[in-house]
Amino acid sequence: MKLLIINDLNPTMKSVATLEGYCRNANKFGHHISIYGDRPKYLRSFKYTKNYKDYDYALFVMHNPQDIPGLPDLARLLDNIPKENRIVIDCLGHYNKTIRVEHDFNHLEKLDGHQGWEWIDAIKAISDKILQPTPNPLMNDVYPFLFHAFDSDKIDKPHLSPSEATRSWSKSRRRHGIIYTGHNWQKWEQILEILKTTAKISDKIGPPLLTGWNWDKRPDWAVEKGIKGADLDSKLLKKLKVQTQQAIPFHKVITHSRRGRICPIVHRPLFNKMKFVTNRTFETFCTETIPLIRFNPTLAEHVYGPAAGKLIPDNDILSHITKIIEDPQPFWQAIIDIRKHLSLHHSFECRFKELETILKN
Amino acid sequence: MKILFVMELRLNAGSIQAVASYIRTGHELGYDFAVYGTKINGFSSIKFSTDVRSFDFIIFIFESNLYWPKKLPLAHILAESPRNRRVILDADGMYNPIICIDGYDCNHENEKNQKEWLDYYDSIADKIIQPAIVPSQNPNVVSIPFYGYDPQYRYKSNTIKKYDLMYVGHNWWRWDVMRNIVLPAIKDNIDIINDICFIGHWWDKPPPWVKECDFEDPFRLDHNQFKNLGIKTKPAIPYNQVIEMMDHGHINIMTQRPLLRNLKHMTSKYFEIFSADTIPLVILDPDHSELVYGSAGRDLSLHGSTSDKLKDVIQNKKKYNKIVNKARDHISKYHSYNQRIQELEKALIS
Repeated sequence: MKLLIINDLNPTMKSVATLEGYCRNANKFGHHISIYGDRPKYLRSFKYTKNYKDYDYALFVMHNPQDIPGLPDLARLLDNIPKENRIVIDCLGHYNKTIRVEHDFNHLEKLDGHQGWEWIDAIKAISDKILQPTPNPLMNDVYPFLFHAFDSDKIDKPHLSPSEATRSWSKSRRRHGIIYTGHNWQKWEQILEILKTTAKISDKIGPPLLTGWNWDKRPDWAVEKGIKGADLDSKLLKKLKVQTQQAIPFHKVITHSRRGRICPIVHRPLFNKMKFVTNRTFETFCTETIPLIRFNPTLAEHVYGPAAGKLIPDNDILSHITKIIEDPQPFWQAIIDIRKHLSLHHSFECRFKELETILKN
Repeated sequence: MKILFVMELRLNAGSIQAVASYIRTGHELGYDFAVYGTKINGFSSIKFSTDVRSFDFIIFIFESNLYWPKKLPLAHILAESPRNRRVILDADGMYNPIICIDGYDCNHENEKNQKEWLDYYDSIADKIIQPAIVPSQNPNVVSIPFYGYDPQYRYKSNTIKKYDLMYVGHNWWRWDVMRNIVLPAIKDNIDIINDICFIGHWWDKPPPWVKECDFEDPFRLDHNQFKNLGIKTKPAIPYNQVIEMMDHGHINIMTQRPLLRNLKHMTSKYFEIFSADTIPLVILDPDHSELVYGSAGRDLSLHGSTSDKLKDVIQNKKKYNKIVNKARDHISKYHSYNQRIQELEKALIS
């Protein structure tokens, strides 16, 4: 397949890591991928083109309105690529009725200036093939396609045995206990719960490190527009001895995680409800940390296989982490099992095949 | 025929009055006009629709802002309307070479800016409509007046006039005309004029961001001159109150930005002012005025000896009311929305 990706790539957010995975793996599996547009200076590893004629399909990867090109490019693409050759990956579930979970919404006009119907009409007009990264889309005309994938080539330290992994994990100097890399958007309550619970042992395992946008303070735009979802209590973070760091580029996330021992995987409330996965659902298993799975357990088992249960704490997060510190080997066994499962069922090769099947239908 | 307008919705500016007239008159004649979108407060006379496919033609109305279309609606509209059914109404003459009038009123700042507009338009449609009363030299451009007069919409309240002279419109490239033509005429007749009122944006002060954006020219103003002549200013009003507001003045001034006057572009204001029970004085040269309003237009042109003209109008209102009625007869015959709809249909099909 020759795929032309339409997306406003940003080195620190959205699906940039996933798209890099598609681009890197494409040739290996006989495919060819480019990003539409002029290449920005800060994204040298991607191949960009404006020659849409050479591609079989245009893949609109949509997170926010910026992912749709402006004129004249948009008209050129829509007028020249037939609808049957256009696909939408709806990464945030905009193609749904309006869903609210706590203060998390799939349509938030205050944030992106668009009402729910505008998202639905636009996506439907762009393509009849609308894909969402969930095994269970809520709309009948949406194809389930997890989109994000696991790339075993990116595993930081691909240990073969749990004992070897344990030795490496225990020996290496790590300044931080909990390490979370991701932005403060609809994650505060979940991260705070982990931070509060583990505060008692942070002297022992190391202070937590939060890396991403808006962990230092509630952003001005959220205050101005009265948007919840980027909430924060800086004083409390200070009291809990939490360290924060600005966002880092996607290609540094995996090695950056070496600084910590335990890496929570949390999904925003809306994603838990829609059973959406993200890049981090898979990428965390490439890091040399022990993941703490804190999202929809049914989805976790669906994606990670039977070993997922070992990494899902029951209500007592503290005792779960204490067990990890005291005896990490069984947890590393689970990680190795999950990596195998992911390599078999959620690799980029699998995704290409799934995509081909959907397109052939 | 079904026609969908795609436009930046502004309650007190742009082409909204004309669009409301197309919707109203179109309905009577069996045409279906609507504006893309869903119901919005304040636009009660506007019919909205998002069913793009059901329309025969889509008319994008561009004024002076290029970036108003939001990306999602744009994707929806472009994906659901074939290119040959899309048309652009170039209200502000942007689909032209760079033109600069009086050394300051320009359609484009530079060639880069002009190219961006042209590329934008060309990507949307092959056909550009300019609301001009004279034909364009550009083969891609169809000139039709577009804006019209609705005789049924004539407002007559018989209310006591609050003002001797009024101007309803924004201070958008208007200062030079006011300073050079209107204010001197007022000054020379100040003894026989009582209340004067200017209604619209930026007659009290320019917007706060103009200096920062280095965009002061369109909003030039010397408010002291207003003060000295006792001219009151009031904020802008919604499109559906414009005619009623004009009715408060014995005399209303009609002017347009120099660029559009030079291009012989029409605007809603050309006809709104004749819908009110007032004496319109138009800042057009007599030939231009006659071209639009017929022979009576020459007498309503505020051109040349403007002080004498203003004095004559103030002192001979009955005479001028007859002239205005003659002009109304002319525009009812030649510039009604019935006429405009037929011209538009012809332009779309051609």
